[in-house]
Amino acid sequence: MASLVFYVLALFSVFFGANVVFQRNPAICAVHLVGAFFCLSGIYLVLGFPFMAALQLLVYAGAIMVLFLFVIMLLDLRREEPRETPIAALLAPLFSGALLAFLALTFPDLVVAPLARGDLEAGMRGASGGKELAEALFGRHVLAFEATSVLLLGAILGVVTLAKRRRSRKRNVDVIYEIEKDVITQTSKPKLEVAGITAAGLGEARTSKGGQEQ
Amino acid sequence: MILSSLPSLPQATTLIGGVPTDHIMILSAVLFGLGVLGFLIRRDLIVVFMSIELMLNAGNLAFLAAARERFLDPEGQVYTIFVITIAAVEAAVGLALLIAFFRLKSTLDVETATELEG
Repeated sequence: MASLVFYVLALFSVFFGANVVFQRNPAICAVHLVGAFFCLSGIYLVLGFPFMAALQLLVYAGAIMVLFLFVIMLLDLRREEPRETPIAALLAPLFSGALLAFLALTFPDLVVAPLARGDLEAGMRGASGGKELAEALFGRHVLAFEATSVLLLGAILGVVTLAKRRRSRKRNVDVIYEIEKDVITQTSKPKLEVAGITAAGLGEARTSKGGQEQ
Repeated sequence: MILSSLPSLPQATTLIGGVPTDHIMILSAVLFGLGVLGFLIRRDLIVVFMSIELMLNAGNLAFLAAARERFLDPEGQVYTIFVITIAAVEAAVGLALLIAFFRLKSTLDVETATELEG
C-alpha cells in the first residue's frame, strides 16, 4: 500500500516538475512547483520522515513559494518567448541525471556495508525521528546549527541592502544637473531629459525608467 | 535489499514500506535532470530560480533515501534541514537580486544580462 502511494506521488511529482520547466507563464510554473513540493512532502511521509514532510510543507510550500508568488505579482511578468536552445543544453541534464543515477545505484554498496549492528538498532529507535534527530542536530552539529543563524543574519542584511532604493544619491546628482542646465541654457527643459543625462553612464534601460519616475 | 538478509528484524520491513532505495534515487535523478534542463533552457530568471529549487529538492530526496537505507539515520535528516535552510536563504537573496535586476532592465530575460560578458 505504502509503495503504491509512493509510485503515484513520484509520477505526479515528475509531472509537476516537467510543467515547471515547460510551462510558459511563470505564475503557472510557480503553482506547479507547489504541487511538486506537496508530492515530495507526501513521499517523505511514506518513507518514514514525518518531521521532514512537515518542514517541506512549512518552508518550501509555505515560505519560499509565497516569496516567489509575491515577486511574480510585484513584477507583473508576461509569458516569455521561447529561447533557441543549443543541443548542449539538452544533453547536459541527461548527463547530470545519468551521473546522479549512477551514484545513486552504486550508493548502497559504498555506504551501507560498514554499518554496524548496534547503529542499526539505534536507528530503529529513532524511527519517529524526534529524539535522535534533536540529539544529532543540537549535539554533533550544534556548531553548524549556530553558524546557520549567522548565515541567516547575513542574508537579511544582504537582502535589505539589495532591495533598498538608492534614492538619496540619485537625487543629489539630479539636483546638480538641474542647476547646471538652468545656469547654462536658462530654459526649463522637461525633466525626462535631465534624468536621461544623469543615468547615461548606467545604461539605457535605467534611463527610460528614471524618466518615468520623475 | 540489505534488510532481506536480516530476518530477525520484522519491524524494519514495515518501516521501509516496500519501496526499493534505487527507485527513490532514480526519482531524485529525474527531478534533478528536470531542474538542470529548466535552468539551462528557460530565459525567465524567476523560472531559473524555480529550477534551482527543484534541484535542491531532488538533493533532499536523495539525502533522505540514503538515510532510510541506513535505517533512518538522523544524519540524513540533519543535512536535509541544513539544505532547506540554505534554500530559504538562497530564495530570499536570489529574489532580491531579481528585483534589483528588474529595476535596472525592466525585464527578467537572462539574455539581457550581458554587461559582464568577457
